[in-house]
Order: sequence, then structure tokens, then C-alpha cells
Amino acid sequence: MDIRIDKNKLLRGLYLAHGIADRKSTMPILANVLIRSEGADRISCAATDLKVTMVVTLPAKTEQEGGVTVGARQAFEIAKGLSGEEVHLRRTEHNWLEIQSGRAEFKVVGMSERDYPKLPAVDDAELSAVDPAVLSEMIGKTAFSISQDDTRPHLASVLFEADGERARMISTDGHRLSKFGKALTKGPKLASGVLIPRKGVAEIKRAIEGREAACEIGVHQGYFVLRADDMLLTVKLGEGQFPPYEQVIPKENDKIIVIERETLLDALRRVSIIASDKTWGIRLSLEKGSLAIEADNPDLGNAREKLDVEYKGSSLQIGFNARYFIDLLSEMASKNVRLELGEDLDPAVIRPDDDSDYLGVVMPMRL
Amino acid sequence: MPATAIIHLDMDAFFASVEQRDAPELRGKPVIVGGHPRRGVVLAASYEVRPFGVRSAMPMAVAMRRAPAAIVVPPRMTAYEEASDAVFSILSKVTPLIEPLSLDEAFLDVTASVKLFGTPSQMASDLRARIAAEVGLPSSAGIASVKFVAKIASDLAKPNGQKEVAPGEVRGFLAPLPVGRLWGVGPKTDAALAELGLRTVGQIAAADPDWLDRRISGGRDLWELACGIDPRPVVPDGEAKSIGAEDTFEEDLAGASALLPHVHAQALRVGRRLRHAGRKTAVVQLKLKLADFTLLTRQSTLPEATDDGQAIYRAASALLLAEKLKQKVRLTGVSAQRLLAPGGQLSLFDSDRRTGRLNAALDRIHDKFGSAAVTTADLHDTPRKQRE
Repeated sequence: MDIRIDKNKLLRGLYLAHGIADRKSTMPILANVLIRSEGADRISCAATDLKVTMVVTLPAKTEQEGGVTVGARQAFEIAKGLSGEEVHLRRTEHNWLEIQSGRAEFKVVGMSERDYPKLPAVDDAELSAVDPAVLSEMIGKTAFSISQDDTRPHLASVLFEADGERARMISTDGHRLSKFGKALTKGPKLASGVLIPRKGVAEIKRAIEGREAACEIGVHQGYFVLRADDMLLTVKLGEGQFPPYEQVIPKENDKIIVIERETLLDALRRVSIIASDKTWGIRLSLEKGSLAIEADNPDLGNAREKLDVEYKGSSLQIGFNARYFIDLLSEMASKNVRLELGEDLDPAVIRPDDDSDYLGVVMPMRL
Repeated sequence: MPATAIIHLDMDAFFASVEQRDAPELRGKPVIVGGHPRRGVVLAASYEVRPFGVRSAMPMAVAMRRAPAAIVVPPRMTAYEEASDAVFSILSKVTPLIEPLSLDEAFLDVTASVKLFGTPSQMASDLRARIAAEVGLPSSAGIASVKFVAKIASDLAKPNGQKEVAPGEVRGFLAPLPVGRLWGVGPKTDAALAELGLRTVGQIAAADPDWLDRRISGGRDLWELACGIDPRPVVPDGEAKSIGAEDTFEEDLAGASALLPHVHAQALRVGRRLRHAGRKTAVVQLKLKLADFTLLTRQSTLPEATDDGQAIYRAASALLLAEKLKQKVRLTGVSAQRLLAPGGQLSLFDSDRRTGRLNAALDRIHDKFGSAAVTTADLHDTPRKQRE
């Protein structure tokens, strides 16, 4: 392998790849980036943790075909520090990579490309061009309630549903759930929802962050595929059955208040300073005309803030993890939100008071 | 202010006494509670076997040589834990200031309880009588104004007795004792003291503290102890810091598939004990002792605190499977490391609530019929003792 490439192009490839490379894996080669010529005028930079794979294709001048793998982080750091405009990459004996630019020259220990895991073949994938802003918004509004528990893979993923016109993401950690849907015209048509694991969700978001031009997405043979210009991201879909989420969205909560979103959010943030940092437990006291938010922490003290609300129903005291509400309210954009409560052990629903298809379900804490 | 009154209460040959209580045919007989006859150590020795020179923590092989006629009983930790809980619940009736040292021994600061329950000596004898009547086990007590004197006194009062050392008698009580009785005096310090010609506690008390401190590190502290000065208060602990279960195998085991059922049984035991204690854990630790006695501990943090043995097993088995074991394994252990009061957070899905109800039902069955009554399929063939 003997390649010449623009330094900034190489840097971009290594930047995108080194985030995926897995330095903690028991397979040392997964900490490496695979650099390989693709014909006479292109190279690819690839990294995988066996679940999420990133391949970036970059223009380059190939003098001799071939490939090699080297430590992804190291390669990125080296490329970042180079002063020249062009970089010369050459594989030498025993899979060493010679990196030369300007007057600097590195010889880096590598491993054979033949030992690198096979990358998912998604060339035949049917992809649809969509607005990345919609995808990004869907992730932002649901990713926070994905379970952190990797021993429950069906909850450690977001459920992605799409019918060609609309798409929807739903996530739950078993204590709360968030669901957001939006028009995704000419989007993928999926027969049923697919599970995109937490890390993959974060990588998709990172890959399209700030992007305005359309990106292509699709589902192909057990992978979620995202293509944007020179970048191809594949995420192995999660296995298992997402819980029947419609069943846990309460339909008959009758204690309903509409309240200014910022007011509620600020009050929750203030009161939760006193709440236990482990459970974030707060109490909501709903009475005619008022909603009080209270925290009582034997180690710190207590806090109370009373908000005026239009409410005439019966009174209710209910405990919640304040974090769950703060996460949801921070992602909502409407001026007012609608809080729908049932009895003290029933799940609460919170949604923006506009026509957007967004809601959060939060299970209470026993007081 | 009344003089500080501390009781050191210590169960007599605790594990062995529980066995003798539960199996009448063992009463009056030399009983050793211990593991494998060649590999384990003595966990408890009944008073009948002590004249042969058998002591706890002694290798089983030595004990069997000294007392070949002794009856060896495998340990039943669940039974000891239950007895211990019962004893501690009796102790907690006279004071909340209880510092447990182990399952079978504790310091009680009863200074403030005198007005309610009579003299410290009276309290000690009432407690011992209640333990004998309600738990069916013998115990001994030492009463003094400082902790370590109370501990020595209970030692001297054994078995089934109690001894009080009044504040004015402390120095006289300690003087004739060998220096090894003092806290912190091991074989090394013992030898160093002997070289200085100090063999009894009284001789240390008579020495010049500055001189002693120059000769021996911590010499001043030793001198203070010898004079009966020990400001350490009774520290009520109350909260266990971890809950664990472990077993040494009869034969070393090789490979994950042989080890997993044991880890599973241990995880289920930890889950039960967590629920019993009303605690949850967020950190699961796996302990492995290899054939060459290398000890490995691995731990993982759970995203959510749990008291479900199956969830603990999922974490522990993942830790085991991540380990590339080149040796056979002597012992596995599972423990819950960071114990939390269960939060009141409710679950959105029925399946999680079902787990809680299932565990509650299993606990009731276990409490009534023993842990062999219901178990998971992979544990069906493991020896009964390890399931408990």
C-alpha cells in the first residue's frame, strides 16, 4: 500500500473513525482503524466495534493498492499534529505504517488488514433520502430515556418505526417512556419497528449533527444504514421485543393542568437542588388553583415552590423523579405543556400543548 | 454524667451451638463445623472438642488429627444468619448503640439504658437469658467502661458466663494478663516486647510511656491500653456494607459451565438476603479463588439498583464469562457491594412488577419450606447445602 492524501481529508476520516474504534474490547484489533485503497483515486478509513461500523471514503492518489490497520486514536493524534499539506502513507514490512508529511516521519506498529473483521455488506441497501434535521430531532427527543441496562437489550435501544410518510421513535428505561413522531416524507417503509441500540443512536446523531443536505437512511439485513456524502454508518439492530408501549400510555388521566413550560422547568430545577442526588425524589401537591413542588431531604433540608394553575378537580399528592420531568421539559419547545395525572400510583403523561406528536410517560415514586 | 458502661456480648461456639441446638444427637458431643475434611478450615468448634486443642480457623486436616472422633458438620450459613438476626434483634431492645463485630459478637453502649433496664450487669444477664430462652443458644458477656476490657472479660467468662470489671479494678484486672491480650499485639510485637522484658500487661503499664514509644512503634498507645485507657466509642454500624455468598468446592472446578450454577445459586442467595435486609444493590462483585489460591475480584455497576437474584446473576455471569480462566477454580463468591435503601420508583411495565411479586412469593416459600423447596432448573442437581 502506497497512498498520497490531502492532510485535512485524512484527518476527517480518522476523526470519524476513531470515535467508533473500541479500545476496551478483548479483540485488540478493534482499537485500530482500517485504511485501505479503493481503486486508483480513493481510500477508505473504517472502524467498527462489531455493532457500529463507520466507513469514510476519501479522495486520494493510490500508487500501490493495499491496506493496513493501526491504532485509531494514535493515527488521529498523529494526523492532527502534522504540518504538511499532503500525507504519504506507506505500508512497510510486518504491517508497519509509515506516515510522512512535511519533514515529519512516523513508523507505526500495525496489524494485518486480513485480521480485521469483515465489514457489513450494505451496498445493495435500498436507501431513502431524508431531512437529517428530522432524524436528529427524533433522536434528541427520545434518546435520554433509553435504558442504560445493556443486559436488557430491548430497552437499551430506541424503537424506530417508519411508514414512508411518518416516522416515530420510542424509548423507555422501564420507569419512563418518551415517544416522538414527525413527518419524514419519502422516508423508509418498514414493515415493523426496528431497535437501534443506544451507542448506534448516539453515533447517528453525531454523524448528522449540523448537517443541512439530505442524508440517506434505510434498513438492510439486520442493519440500520446511514449514508451521507463520503460517510457510511451501519448499526447492527438490537434483538428482542420492545414492550407493548401503547398499553402503558394512560388514556384516562383526569387531573389535567396546562402550565407554562419554562415556569415548571425552572421550579423543578430549583426544588430538585434539595432532592436526593440518587433518586431526585420530589413531591407534587395538586390542589384547587395550585401546584406545589416540594423536596424533603433529611441530609440537606427542604424546599417548596407553589405555582398557580387553573385546576378545579380533587387534590393529589404524588412523588416523582424530578430528573424525568426535567429531561422531557428541556426537549419540548412549546410555550405551554399539559400535565395529565391519575391517582398517586398511576403513570403521568406530559406533552407539549401544541399539535406536535410528542409525549412522555413518567411512573411515580412511592412517597 | 454516669460512667460509660459497655457490654461485649459474644455467642459461645456460635455455629457449633446452632448445630447442637438443631440436632439433639449432637448435644454433648465434640462437634466441628467446617468445610472439606482435607481442604477447609474449622469454622467453629464446640466446647466438647476444645480440650483436644481444636480451635476455629485451624486447618481441618490438623483438627481431624487432633480429634479424630469429632463429628464434622458442614456449615449452614442461612441458619447462622437467621440466629444472628434473632440475637441482634434482642440486643437492640436495650440500646441502639450496637457495634457488631461479626455475626456472633457485638459491643453495646448501655450507659444511657441504666435508668430503664437496671445495672449493666443486670442487663447483660437479662440479655443472655432472653437469648437462651428465645434463640436457644448460649452466650457470654463482659462488662466494663472500655471496649477492649469488656472483650477480654467476656473471653474469660466463657462459656456461658459473664464478668464485670468495675472502673477502679481495670488496672488490677489487666495486670497479670499476657501482653498478647492487648489489641494490636501480634506475634511480632509480642516478641519485641519480650525482648524488652515485658511479658504481662502490668509490666507495660509500669513502664515509662516515652521510653516504650521510642522502642516500639505505637508504644504509647500500648501503654495507654495497658493502663485501661481506650477512648474508642461504640460505633453503631447497623448498616452492613456488603452482602455476599461464597462456597469453596469439594473439588476444584474447571470451566464456566461448571461454575455458573454455583454462581447462580450464590446470586439467588444474595438476592434473598438483600430483600430480607430491605436493601438493593447497584454494584455486583464476583470473587474467584483459583487452584493456586490467586484471588480475583471483578465488579460491575448496574444501571439500576436491584434486589433480584436473577439480575445479580446476569451481572455476575457476564463477569465470569469475560474472564479467561486458565486454572481450575476453588471458590466462587457473589456479593452486593453498594447497598441502598430501595427507592420508591415504580415500574412502567408489568413484567418488572411481576419479578417483585415472584420474588416475594419465593421468599415466603423458602422461609416456610427451606430453600430446596423451589429453585431454578439449573440448580436442581447441585448439592443441597450449596443452594442454601
